[in-house]
Amino acid sequence: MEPLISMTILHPKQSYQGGDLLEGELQVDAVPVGSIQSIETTVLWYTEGKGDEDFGVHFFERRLQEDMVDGDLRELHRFSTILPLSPLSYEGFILKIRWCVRTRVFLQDGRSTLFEEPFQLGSVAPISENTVAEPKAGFSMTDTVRDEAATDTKPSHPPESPLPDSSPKVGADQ
Amino acid sequence: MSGNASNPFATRFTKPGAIDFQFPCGDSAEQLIERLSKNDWRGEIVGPHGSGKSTLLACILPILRERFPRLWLGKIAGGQRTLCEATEQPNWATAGLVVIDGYEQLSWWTRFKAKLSANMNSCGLLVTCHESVGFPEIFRTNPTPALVKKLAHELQNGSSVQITSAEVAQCYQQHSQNIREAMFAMYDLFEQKRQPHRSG
Repeated sequence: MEPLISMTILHPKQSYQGGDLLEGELQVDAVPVGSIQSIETTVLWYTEGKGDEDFGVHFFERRLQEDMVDGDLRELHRFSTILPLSPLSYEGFILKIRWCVRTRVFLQDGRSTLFEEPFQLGSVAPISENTVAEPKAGFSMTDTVRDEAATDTKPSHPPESPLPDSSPKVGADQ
Repeated sequence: MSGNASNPFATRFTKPGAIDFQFPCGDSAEQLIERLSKNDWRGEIVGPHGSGKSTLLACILPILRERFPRLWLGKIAGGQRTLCEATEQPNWATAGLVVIDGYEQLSWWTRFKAKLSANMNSCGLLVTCHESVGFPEIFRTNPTPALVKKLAHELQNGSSVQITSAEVAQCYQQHSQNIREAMFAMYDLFEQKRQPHRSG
């Protein structure tokens, strides 16, 4: 039988900020006492998209059966970590940066089971066509540029566009 | 649809090793390795760009490693002309089998030395290439539109956003039957479909 992993992020937020405390608890059921060799809990980020993948581990904890007084790793266990300032969660078109809490249970018979709980760090808005600003007032368009604007969405001289606000919003809880 | 769900055509789901190699009817990894064995562990996997050669290697490597625990694998990156540029050189005396992915990118001299080293050490040599380089051909990758449609269907299993079979065929055709590039195109199309206000 596969172990049943119950993992919960305590006091969940729509998005966390760097310096926030991330707390969670997990419990394993549906397997007998002594059947679990170890449990690993990781808070990590990873990239996803079209290019090469990357990941970084922020928090890692491995608990072994012999570490437990009664040898029972199934019991409710709480973990916590202070989240870093970066990298922030990002839902881009080509690249996405995602954060999650990952728990892996290793059984004595060699099998393992994985469970992930995603969360968001920061509030970075993805770039969209709507973030491209209109040309400034008073800008004189030549006939050539005007024709380009009429037939193509990309002007020959890109106008200034405000960058998306990627800085964490202090105190901006859900 | 939530933008946080994974794109089924992201690299993590389509890279060599993440996706199973689809053998044509009547063939299998075991039969391929049997052919390699009968050719004294010398052979080439031939196929055009993005046709699945690296994916096929990822499929058979675990079986080969059981036979050759010290197997050496080298993936030749663009512009790399010698094996010395790899993180470590193969130990021809102990490897048992050397696998070179992208063999024809190596210089003539490096290829000559590799063959000489393999012969002198009775070491097997399996390579991938776009055109034959003179080894016994043990497999030729030959993707078809039907195969790409099947892969796309499997990758999208359960997704509320779907790329149609016609769109898959179009992506494949537009990229000169290069599955890798077609997957990239399908990635873009999937993103556009689920978040139409955003562009790449």
